[in-house]
Amino acid sequence: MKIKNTKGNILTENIIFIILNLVFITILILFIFSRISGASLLEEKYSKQISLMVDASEPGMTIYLNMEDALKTAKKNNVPVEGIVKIKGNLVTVDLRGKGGYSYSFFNGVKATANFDTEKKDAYFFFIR
Amino acid sequence: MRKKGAEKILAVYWFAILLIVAGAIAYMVSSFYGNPYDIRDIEAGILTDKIASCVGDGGYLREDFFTPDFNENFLEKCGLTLQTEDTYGWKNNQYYLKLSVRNFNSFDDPFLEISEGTSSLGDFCGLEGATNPYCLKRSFYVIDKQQNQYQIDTLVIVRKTEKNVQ
Repeated sequence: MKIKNTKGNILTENIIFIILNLVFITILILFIFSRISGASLLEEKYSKQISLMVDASEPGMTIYLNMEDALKTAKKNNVPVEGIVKIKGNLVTVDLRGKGGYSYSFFNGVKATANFDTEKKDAYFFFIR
Repeated sequence: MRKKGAEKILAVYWFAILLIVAGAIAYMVSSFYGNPYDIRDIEAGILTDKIASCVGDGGYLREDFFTPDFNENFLEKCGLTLQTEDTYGWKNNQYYLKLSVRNFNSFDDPFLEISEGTSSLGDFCGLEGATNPYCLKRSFYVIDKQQNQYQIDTLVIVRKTEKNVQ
């Protein structure tokens, strides 16, 4: 009887140990993914990327930018995807959380407008005039 | 009994190691992704390219380059604006650009200088540290239609420290 109990204890301990390890690793991975794909990080990334695009552009250009991950995040946060990128004067604002977003300015004197791609629904295109 | 006690101690060590590893990973990820993207070097590079494109016209120095109108309205003529967002107490003082024009075949001082923006940013050039404004110096050779040769040195400085460095 004693031998049987011991074997049972070892198995239970091992299972608990493995479960705890799995929980631990899961929490770690979730933490890393939350950091990497956070809405605030995407707002900063896209506002800076769009500003640089506009800086390097010339009048007459149309630029397409795939923003699939940002659009997914905006949908998750119940923010209308048609209005997540705004360009006012020389200031680009990307808002994926409905909290004002992140803004970055560009120095190119062109007039830029941001439009949601209503056909593919995964991109924005920018008219440079 | 001894064996079981040793296993328990080992398990504690195992979790301690896991905690240390997890803490290190969390710290590294936080410090890497917690810092803003620093794009000032790209901005300065694009601004330098824009200046060079503006000054040149079909492979030659643009004809109105030496006119007072061009020098006084340099930003407007080149389609540039140095206005920035009004955050962190920025008051449109985040850029500085300077062009120095000299004869290519002589070592004389520049005979023409055009500058725009906040000149005091130039004091930080050459200093070490990411929190200083980013400075980019470039030179290019250009001729006018009378085949006169010039060297134009550009200095572009982008500050915007608060949004690019933590």
